[in-house]
Amino acid sequence: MGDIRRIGQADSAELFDWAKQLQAPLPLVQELAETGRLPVPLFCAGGIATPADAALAMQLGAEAVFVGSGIFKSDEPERRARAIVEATTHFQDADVLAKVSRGLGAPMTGIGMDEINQRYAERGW
Amino acid sequence: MNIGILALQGAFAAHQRVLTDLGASVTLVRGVEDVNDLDGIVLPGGESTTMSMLLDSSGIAAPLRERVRNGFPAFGTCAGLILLAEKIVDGRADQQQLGGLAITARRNGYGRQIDSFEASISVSEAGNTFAMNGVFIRAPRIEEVTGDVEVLGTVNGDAVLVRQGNILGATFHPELSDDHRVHEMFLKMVSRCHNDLEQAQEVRS
Repeated sequence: MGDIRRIGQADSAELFDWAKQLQAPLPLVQELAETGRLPVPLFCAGGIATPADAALAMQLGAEAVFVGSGIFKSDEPERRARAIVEATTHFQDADVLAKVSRGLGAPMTGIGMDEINQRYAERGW
Repeated sequence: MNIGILALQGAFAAHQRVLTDLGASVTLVRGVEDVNDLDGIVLPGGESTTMSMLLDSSGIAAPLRERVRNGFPAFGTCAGLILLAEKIVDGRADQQQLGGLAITARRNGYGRQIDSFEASISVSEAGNTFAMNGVFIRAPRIEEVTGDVEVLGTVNGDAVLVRQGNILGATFHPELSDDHRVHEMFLKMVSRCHNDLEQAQEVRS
């Protein structure tokens, strides 16, 4: 999102540079500078585990949030899924967020770095 | 005049951009309290079964259905049109209609996402005839038009733009193109309804 804002401020010479840097077609970068947004919906995905995570992603500028393991690896997938949908829909409403975050059971947990057994640097591809 | 856009799901942002460009004052509707003080509502494209679920959980379904059935100006595009249709085919068993438009709409009537297309629409409205480009994305197909529904636009004989009373419905996405004529049509409808209401109030007082 920050880069999108910077591209919006860039002059035509800088846009050439952005296109090279991003390895993106210049007309697309120009369109982005003009309209201030991508011509496709911006989905946010990766590590969304709680309704609050989803609401945060929306507040930061995502147009949609994708949740996978965050739902399937939680204690109560169906309840948590509903809660995340409501939090995403009403992402600016703190009361809704607080209400749906209650009684969901445990969320998915991450994997600590020291718990990882397979280290690709040692194993190779 | 304040136009509400149902913002529970879908492409409400695109409608917001067009209506703001046309000078309308816009409210994003997510809660029951947002439904008051509106002169019209836009139901955007998106996914109708999700909208139906969220209309229910937000408590907006009942008051909005009541208003639309009582002549509140409404404009539905794609999923929005599905919500306004009296009858739908290939819907989910638990999806609910707002109703108001005496048509039968078949969900995904032209095929799946990959069958989305653009086509030229022949429009005839208030004595004006013109062609406009329509963006159809996994569009519903209007299979039956009954009652006093006017067909304003067609593609290959299929009704794609319809009006009944204060309700305007499109199976395509005028908000995704630079052609704002359909939105202007809706704003005119809202304005007329607003003026009629004001006149009625003056007569009473």
